[in-house]
Amino acid sequence: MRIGSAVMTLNYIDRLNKAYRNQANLVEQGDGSKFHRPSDDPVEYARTMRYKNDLANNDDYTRNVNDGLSWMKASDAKMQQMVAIMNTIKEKTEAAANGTNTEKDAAAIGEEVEALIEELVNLGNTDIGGRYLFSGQRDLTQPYQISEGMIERADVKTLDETQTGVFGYAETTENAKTVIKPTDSNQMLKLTDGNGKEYYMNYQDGSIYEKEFVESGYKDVISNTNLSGKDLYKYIKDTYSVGSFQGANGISTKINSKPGSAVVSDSVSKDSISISTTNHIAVDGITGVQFETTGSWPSYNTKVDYEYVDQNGNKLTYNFTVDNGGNITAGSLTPSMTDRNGNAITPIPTYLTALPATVTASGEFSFTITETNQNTGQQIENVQVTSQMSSPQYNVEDYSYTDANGNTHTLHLPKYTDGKPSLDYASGSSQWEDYFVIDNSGNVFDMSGNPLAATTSTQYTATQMTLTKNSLNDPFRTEVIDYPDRNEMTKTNSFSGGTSTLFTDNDGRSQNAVFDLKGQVRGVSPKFTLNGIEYSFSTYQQKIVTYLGDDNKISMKMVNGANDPTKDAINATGVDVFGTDIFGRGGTSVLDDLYSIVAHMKAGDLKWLSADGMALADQSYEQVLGAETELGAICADYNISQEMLTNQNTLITEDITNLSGTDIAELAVDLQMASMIYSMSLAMGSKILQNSLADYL
Amino acid sequence: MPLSTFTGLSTISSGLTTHQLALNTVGHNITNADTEGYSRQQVSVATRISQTVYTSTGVSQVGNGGDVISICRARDLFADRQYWRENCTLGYYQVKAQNYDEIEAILDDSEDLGIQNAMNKFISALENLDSTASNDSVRANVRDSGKNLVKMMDDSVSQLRNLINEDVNDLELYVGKVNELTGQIADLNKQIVKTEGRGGIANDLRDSRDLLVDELGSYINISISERENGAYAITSNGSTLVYEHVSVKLQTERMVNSVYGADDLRITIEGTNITYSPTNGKLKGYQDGIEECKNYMDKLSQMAAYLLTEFNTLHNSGYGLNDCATGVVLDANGDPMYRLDANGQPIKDKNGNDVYMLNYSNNFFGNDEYRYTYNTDGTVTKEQIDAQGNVIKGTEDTLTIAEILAEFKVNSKFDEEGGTNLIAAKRLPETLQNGTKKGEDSAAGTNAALLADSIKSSRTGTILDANGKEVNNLFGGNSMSEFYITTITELGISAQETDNYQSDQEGILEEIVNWRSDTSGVNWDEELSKMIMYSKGYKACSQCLTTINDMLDTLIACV
Repeated sequence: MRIGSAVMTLNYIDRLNKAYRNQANLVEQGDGSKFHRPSDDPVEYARTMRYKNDLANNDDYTRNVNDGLSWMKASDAKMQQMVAIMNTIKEKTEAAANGTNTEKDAAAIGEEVEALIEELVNLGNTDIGGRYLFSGQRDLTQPYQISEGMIERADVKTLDETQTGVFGYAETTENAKTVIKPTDSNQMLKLTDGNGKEYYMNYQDGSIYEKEFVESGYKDVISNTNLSGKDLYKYIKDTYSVGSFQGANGISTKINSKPGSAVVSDSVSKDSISISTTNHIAVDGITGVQFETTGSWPSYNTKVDYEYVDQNGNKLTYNFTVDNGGNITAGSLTPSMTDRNGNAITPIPTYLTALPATVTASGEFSFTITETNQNTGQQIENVQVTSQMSSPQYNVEDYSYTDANGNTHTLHLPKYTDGKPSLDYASGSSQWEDYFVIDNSGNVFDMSGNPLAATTSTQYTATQMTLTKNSLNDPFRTEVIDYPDRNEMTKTNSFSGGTSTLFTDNDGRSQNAVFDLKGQVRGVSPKFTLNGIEYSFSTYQQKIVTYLGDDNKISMKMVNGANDPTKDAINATGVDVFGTDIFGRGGTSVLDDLYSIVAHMKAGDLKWLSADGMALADQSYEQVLGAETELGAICADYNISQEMLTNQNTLITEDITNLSGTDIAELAVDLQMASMIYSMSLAMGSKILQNSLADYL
Repeated sequence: MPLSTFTGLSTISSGLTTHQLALNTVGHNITNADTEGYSRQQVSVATRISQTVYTSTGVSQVGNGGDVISICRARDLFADRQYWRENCTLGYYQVKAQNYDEIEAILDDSEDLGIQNAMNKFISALENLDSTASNDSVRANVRDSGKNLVKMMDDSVSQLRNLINEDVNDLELYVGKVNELTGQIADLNKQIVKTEGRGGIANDLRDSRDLLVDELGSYINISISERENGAYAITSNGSTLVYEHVSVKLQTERMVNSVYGADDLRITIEGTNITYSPTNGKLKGYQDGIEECKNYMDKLSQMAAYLLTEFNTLHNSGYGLNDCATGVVLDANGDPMYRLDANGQPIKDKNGNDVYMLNYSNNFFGNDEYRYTYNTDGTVTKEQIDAQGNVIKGTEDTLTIAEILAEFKVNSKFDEEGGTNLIAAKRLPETLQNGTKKGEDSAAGTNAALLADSIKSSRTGTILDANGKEVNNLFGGNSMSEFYITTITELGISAQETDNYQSDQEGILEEIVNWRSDTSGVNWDEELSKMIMYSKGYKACSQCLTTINDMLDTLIACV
């Protein structure tokens, strides 16, 4: 085969180029990376890209875990301080209750404890970079506020361990069967009868016991019977209960509070209101009776029973209802009356005008009714009327009302099933959050103060109810925008002695009382009668704390996919730290209880302190300690995760280096070889290629 | 007939002439050993017609010397054809490989400075938002890393667009080159026919013509036939480009491709409206390269479309800080409204949650109050949505690839004062007025986690059909992140394949060149050997002449 001389040179140059290119490829890897474009090794390149994604993910999770840890460590540090303070308070309570102390000493200790509580509240308000640690998800809102003045709070009895073992049950009805179940509560409500004798009520099933029996009398029962647990409670309830609420659905004071949506302000100072109605009632011989009430804030959201004595000395009760919209609905007359023709009188809200009246300290209204004989114009005065607050009527879904301009609006409220709210208060699983307010002009606002527009929504079929323009003129509807969800009502109970209502406001204060929109008691402890005894709920003057955060967890993502909000939660909410009280008020139970201890200290109630006070201080301490321990456990989990993620990071980085990194030793050898080949080629070119016949001629 | 006294002289003189010619040819060969396209020339010598002499034994034939009958090229026609074909394929792969190099440089992530990195940063920012939703700097980071992703994708798209325009420029240039070559070939045809008409072979002209054909063959696929008169007829795809001394030019028409926003070039055959589409060679390489660039623009636009459609839908379903913004249709109470199916039943997503009714008033990408939906042909429909979530009739607009990418921007309202609050990190409002569900507050980042997942790992779309059934996202069951990796892998494999083809083709071509040079190449040793032979021959002839001269001298002296 012939070989052209030029071809030989060209081929040589080609080879030389290839050797040079190989060398250049190797030199390119000198930056430590094997890949400089996807085609260098498409499969490995893609693997590297995937590893890089994994690494990015892992970095995110590591950052999350680190953030979470720093948040938890900050929370834990504060909670440890809280635990220390709680411990001090415990010791101080013990010291105050010590028999050698005088009442004056106790009051001094009370001052100290009060300062400690303020410190607790300050710790509860700790923030990191503007984010509050204990506010739940509402991390931009400062969670705690202490009430400015004294507030009337329902007095509760805190049971010790043995007492809880006996009274910590409730008789309820399930599937038409009576069952006894243990409760998670160790508190009872305090009642007083007309003679100052004290009782405790199991608020879960309404049973009432004499104070002495709960304090010590039960011990005899234990020693005299062989019963324990449910059987013991059943025996005690059947044998020793002095009475029991027989509510239609059992009794519960549980309300899910809606923390923080209310901003307490002092701008409302209206203590007195007046309701003017143009409702008339037709009673025998009298075509118009006018009622007018002036009192403290009573009749908003309430059902009102008016009792009066007519000119013949008959005592009548006229029951009517003021609903959430301030509308009055006619009720019934008790006992029933007949007119002169023997026909039953059906009270209809026609002409009813109340005269100015006063409210007594017991929360009862008394006022005078002027009866006007429409035929003669004669007025009959001095008819005594008493009133009692009763439940609101929630059995409507849509309200339509007419505003000051005569326009009709429809307001939409939650659904009802059988005339009652569809919310299950007893289980505590629901929230009642739909409130609205009406101002003087009849305009309606939501709780944030935003006007509610009329809606023609057809999603709900509703009972239409007309609020007349006349009923919207009252001053009590002004300035209520700031106070959303107070005056909530747990339920209406029918007592054997009559009809009364058990109220609990959002702040858990007092029972069977009337509250203003600030949640303060206006009518004090109305009485109810049961088996001939008139009971009233005990209340106590103390400071309280309001929690504005929520009970939502902040969670961190540590692995791909969905996160487990409870397991991965990094925050302790105020509710976790300070617990929920028997009124369903979350986030302040411990603080309110401590204020109650302070109040008793200041009052020098050594006896209370040595029993209830100690138990309450212990329980509060346990609550905070428990929350701290729980967070500590999650913190430990996070430490493990952090370690795992760090390991993972090392592994992935190693994988990436293995895939895309250059093996320096190999590269050096390869380069050496490539450059040698190149040198050899050059040598060949200069020494061998030149030779041809021409050199020898 | 007796032999002439001077017969020997003429015989020798023919010997001198042939050797001189042969030596000249050796000189020509050596001189042109390196000349591109040169073919070795060979001298063919034939004996002259012999003279009859009568001798005692009868009749004998006396040789009369020799004559050069031709000087021709040593050329292997079969190798030529092979060369033209394979060189065409090499030209194709060379251009394609170069184009891939450029695309790879555009979409390179090896330095962690590419789209993958931008995407990961965006995901990371969203993950951080999930855990720290109330922090303004974290929110700002989501916006800014979103912008970074947009910028990276924009940059890549405009670089691809530039690459297309450069390819179109080159293509136009090479069409010009093709025209120049066919013109020159036609000229040479003319000269060759003219020269060879007088007899002989126009060796050097033919070499020049073959060299031009070599070059032409690297640009386009051609087929060549030689006519009897020596002219080449060249056709490509059935169209005649050269015939005798006439060449047909290709025409170019440059236009803008509105779908991609880049230039396009149409090649037609002069005087007709027939589109000329080469099937091989550099021209085809450029045309395929342009299609490749468009393919990667498609991929990027698909990602942009995903973010405009699915990601936006998810973002609209969330709530901003303090409920300041949402794309959910709210009822009179401010509660979210839910979608119902044809039977009036609430539509549920895969987690059993109700699906929000959306009015797209809080888009992350693009403009507010517009809904973007993806079509199977790669376009995106943009429609204006009213506050109740209904399409405003007459506002529908179909976006092409270029328009999708132009629309793909982070919503400018995020840049306004407090704009970062609008980023929808959570899924529920603070309080639901009407239900019993708990709301979510400032620290909640449930939606941010979903947003991160929608890029990182979600294989299904967030847009449900009328019955609430999930539809695969636009990536055929892949996540967007995975889609990008797959795209880059495809690019790597194609580029690698092309590189391999190119290097294979170079090997094949080298073989053919060697083969060609077997015949046509000049070998110095051979030529020098011949030179020695011819010079010795010439010397021998001269010696012969001297001897005859002496002989004649002797004879004359006798006279």
